Amino acid sequence: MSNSVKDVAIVGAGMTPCRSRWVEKTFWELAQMAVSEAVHDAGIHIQEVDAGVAGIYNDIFEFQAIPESGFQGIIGLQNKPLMRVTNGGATGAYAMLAAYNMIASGQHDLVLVVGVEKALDCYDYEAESNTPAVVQTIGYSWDPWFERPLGAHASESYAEVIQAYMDEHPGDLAPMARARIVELLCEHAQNNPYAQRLGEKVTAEQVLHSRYVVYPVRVLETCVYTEGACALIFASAEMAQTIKERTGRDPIWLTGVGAANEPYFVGNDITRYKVLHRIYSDHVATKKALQMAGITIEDVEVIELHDAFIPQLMITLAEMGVVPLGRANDLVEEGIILPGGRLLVNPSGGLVFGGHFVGGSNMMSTWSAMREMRARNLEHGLIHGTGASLSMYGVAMVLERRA
Amino acid sequence: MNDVTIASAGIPPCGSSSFEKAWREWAQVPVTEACVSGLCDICLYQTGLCMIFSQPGDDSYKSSRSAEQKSKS
Repeated sequence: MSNSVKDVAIVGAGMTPCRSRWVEKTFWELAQMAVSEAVHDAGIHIQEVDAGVAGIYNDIFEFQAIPESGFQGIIGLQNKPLMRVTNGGATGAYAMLAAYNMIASGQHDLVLVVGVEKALDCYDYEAESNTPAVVQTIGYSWDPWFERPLGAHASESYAEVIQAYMDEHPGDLAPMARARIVELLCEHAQNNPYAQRLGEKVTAEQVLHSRYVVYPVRVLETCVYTEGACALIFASAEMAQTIKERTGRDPIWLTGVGAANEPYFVGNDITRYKVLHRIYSDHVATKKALQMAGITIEDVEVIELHDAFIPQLMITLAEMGVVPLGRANDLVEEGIILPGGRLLVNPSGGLVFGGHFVGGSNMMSTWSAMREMRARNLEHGLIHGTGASLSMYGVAMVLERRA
Repeated sequence: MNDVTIASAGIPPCGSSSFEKAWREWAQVPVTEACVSGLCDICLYQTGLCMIFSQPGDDSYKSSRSAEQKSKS
């Protein structure tokens, strides 16, 4: 990493409530709501923003090509650069990475990053249904010549990784450990005013008896479909200082970033192929981010990670080094992530209970981690995003709260 | 800001249609050319796939199923 990389701070954040359906708002309006909140939170005027990055998962969900073009002016970025990022489930994290780079390179001083998603607004006369079929659309992530024609759908690729891990580490990812994590995240979500499943009570027993989506993943271990938006304001050190003088509030600093994408093709040599029982991208991304920040995983007090599925959450925490690979049950059995444990994981309720609006979910994670770091007086947090078939894409970012 | 240069470039012939290559392969052709002309590290395997490594993992994890491990044991 070059020594000329400039410091980057997050000075504002805004969220919409997460809902399974926003009947009364288009995705343009959701983006506008989140941006308005973030600008207000940062204590700035939108005209002070130099550039924007939009995280939108795919055009088929929004039923519009170049979907960000519609809200360019609505969010107040007329005649400013706005770059759209789409990188599978990790879209939100990669959009943040793009915004980070804009500031760290010295190109801009104040950058808005907004993630938004919704998918059920338009009627497709060809399919005679509301468009698009979300699960089917995610299935388009598969190889179009050989795999998708076999009927591959959304959840199967992660299930393949989870099953391979369970073959490699028999006894790990125990059903009761997973069920207790679901119970824990449900409790966390009750403290998130924007959580989609606010007010729900899910017990470990219910998880163990819920139906399979695809073996070995049960429906109560699976993330939800969400419509919503989140926006963040990234600032250079100079601009962060100016904003601090206005608001009297310290920013949260982004002190380490890392990203890695694994190859699509599966094999045994991890330097050339996707090793099916690993989420190696998470390992590499986390290692790079921690290294850049000059800390170890033991220094991290809160992790907001991308939990598409609970067993994947456990593998990811092992890949990050919280526990050794093959010992993910310890997260629960040794109380590491339980109340009173040494690590707070997904205080937002995660993507399972908080919500999963793909283009902005990782931004929601950032919003939540910042909130917890301020409320609990924590020094270091870690944000994580994953995505694409077989959980190939990984991004990690270290947050720091300076006294 | 840091200075930025373009070190090399690659481009396949443009055509209105190509029956013999998938889009993945079209991506492979200019990347290979750009890497070769830029004298970047590149490993070209005869499997039909081009794999590019910037930093082979120093902590690479060898699968217990991998041929490397099995041959050692």
